[in-house]
Amino acid sequence: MKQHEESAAADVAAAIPKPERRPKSDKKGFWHSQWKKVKKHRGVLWFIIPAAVFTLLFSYVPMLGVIFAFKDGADGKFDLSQGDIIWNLTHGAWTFSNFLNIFVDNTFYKAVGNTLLINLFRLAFCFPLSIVIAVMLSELKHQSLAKVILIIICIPNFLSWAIVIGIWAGLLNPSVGILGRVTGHIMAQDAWFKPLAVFFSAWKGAGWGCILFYSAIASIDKTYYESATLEGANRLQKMWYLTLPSILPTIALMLVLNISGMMAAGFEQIYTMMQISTDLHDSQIILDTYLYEISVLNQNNIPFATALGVFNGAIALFLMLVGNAITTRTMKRGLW
Amino acid sequence: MKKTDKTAAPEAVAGYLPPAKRRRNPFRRNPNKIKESVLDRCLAVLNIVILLFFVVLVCFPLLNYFSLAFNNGNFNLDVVIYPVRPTLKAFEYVLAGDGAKNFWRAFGNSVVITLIVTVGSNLVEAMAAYPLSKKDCPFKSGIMMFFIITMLFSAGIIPIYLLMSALGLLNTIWSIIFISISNVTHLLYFKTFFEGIPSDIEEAAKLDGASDIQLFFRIIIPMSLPILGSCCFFTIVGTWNSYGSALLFINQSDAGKAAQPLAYYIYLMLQDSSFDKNNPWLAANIQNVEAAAMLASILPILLMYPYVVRYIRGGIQIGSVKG
Repeated sequence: MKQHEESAAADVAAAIPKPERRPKSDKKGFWHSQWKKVKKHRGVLWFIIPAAVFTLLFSYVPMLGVIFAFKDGADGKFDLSQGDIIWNLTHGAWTFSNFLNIFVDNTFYKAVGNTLLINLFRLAFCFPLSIVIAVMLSELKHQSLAKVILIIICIPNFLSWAIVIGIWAGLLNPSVGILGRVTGHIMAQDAWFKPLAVFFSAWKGAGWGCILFYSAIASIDKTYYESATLEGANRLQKMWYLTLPSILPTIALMLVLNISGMMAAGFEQIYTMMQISTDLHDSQIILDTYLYEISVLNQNNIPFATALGVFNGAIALFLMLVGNAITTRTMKRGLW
Repeated sequence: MKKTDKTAAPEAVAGYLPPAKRRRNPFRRNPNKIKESVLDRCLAVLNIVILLFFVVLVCFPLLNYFSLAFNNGNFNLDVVIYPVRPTLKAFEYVLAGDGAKNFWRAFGNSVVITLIVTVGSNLVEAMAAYPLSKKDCPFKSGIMMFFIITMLFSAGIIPIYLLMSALGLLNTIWSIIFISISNVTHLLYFKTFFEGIPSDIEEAAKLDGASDIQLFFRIIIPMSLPILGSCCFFTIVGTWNSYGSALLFINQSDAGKAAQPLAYYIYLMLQDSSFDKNNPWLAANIQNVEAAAMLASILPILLMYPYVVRYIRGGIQIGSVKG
């Protein structure tokens, strides 16, 4: 192999006076060099196979299901009870109307509105809360106390959503809950649904979310603070002009990550909350729960449900790509 | 300032006392230290007060609700943060009484699912990350793209539901297991970590005659225990607590009931008590039974809390998100 290369290089060197050692065309060189790498790593390359098989089977094979979105399912032609998947694929007309039907579906608009609202509230409330707690913890004189507090406020993150909502439903229960006796049954009130959803997210996730910021603050050089103190800066000034700018890259990255996940408002949380008061359906529905309802609970128009799922996935993909473009441009690193 | 002047003056006059022998007053302020302004000290106090408020906000619901698990159901209204009429009847019902069969079945399902997913997912992803961590891995960017695309785009739940139904995995724990095995985030964590391992070590092991499999399992894996621990921890917590995939793949049929994971069991318990309505004790203690079942279901996670403590104190950093 090596000899062959050298002789080729010698030929080219003879033909062209420049001492350039790029003998082959790019394409042949690419496959040739890849083949050399394959041979070099042939002992470990098969390590990829198990992960690739699982990814192929449970991520890529479902992507083929996108074609269901192009079948006509409006009049029950697409019926899983009538036959298997192959039967359904070969029967019934092809159409693009499922995607168009998304835009005339009122529930879809309600779901998108609720999803965006809940996520905007979260962005405005939960996200800054994590940063504020992290800054406050780092301002404590005794950092061991800060760690104890952090350990305590992280506990809810390790409870499942069923338990978190079970606890609060118990507390806010109007007849037996200790808070519910004062507030009434606010979990069954329209106006309280979104604030409570955001509050539960904060209660569960704020402590865990602030670990990242807390360790970012802890890694700031302490001598900056000493010199700031000597210059006569007070606590607020140190927080504003020293701590926050130092963790700004972390904040920006998490902000972009949050915005990229804007279309997912937490299926488990919202769906569990919806079970407590089922009569407020329209003010509670988010994209994920709507998708779940039309795909699993009442499968009367499977092509439309597929189309909505694909559409949702496409928007999520778009947001992720935009987020990645932003972080690569401004922070010189991708989202993944 | 006045105070430091007062203490400094006798020192200067009474110079015959050797300073080394004088007992240092532990409460005396260090005179060299810049004194904090009143505003700053107020802020510090306010800071602690607000943080303690957050601690109470987290602890109070937990204490209040889980006190019910130890309380007699007829006195639930009196509970604030501790059980007023302590009893273990609710636990007895959940763990050894009429509710035990369903609880332990769901518990067993969760243990099996969590074990298989944790070992399987992390082993598979670590193995895949190892060749990809090499600088001259062939088709590296192509293979990475293959994995990363699945992180960014999914075709929704209908296709995955139809796939599971075609494979005959609906209403089995295998649907939940298989859907959780592939975890590209952890693949990226492993890849980043492996890239930091110096290649000299691998070459030395190769010279000593280690095969690739030996090299990976005897050298690379033991060196990667920190990242492996973190990833396993996140997999365990995530799998134990999630019931979204159970909502998808498991229904209320008998086969489905046999495959419920614990978090799903708790979720079902919350909305409709499928408990025996003829049992008067149960009617009075339903809240206590629910609280007891929840507490029993989080105990395995609480056992892992020392790891969380280490995570917080050591600031174990994983992946490329660095502080």
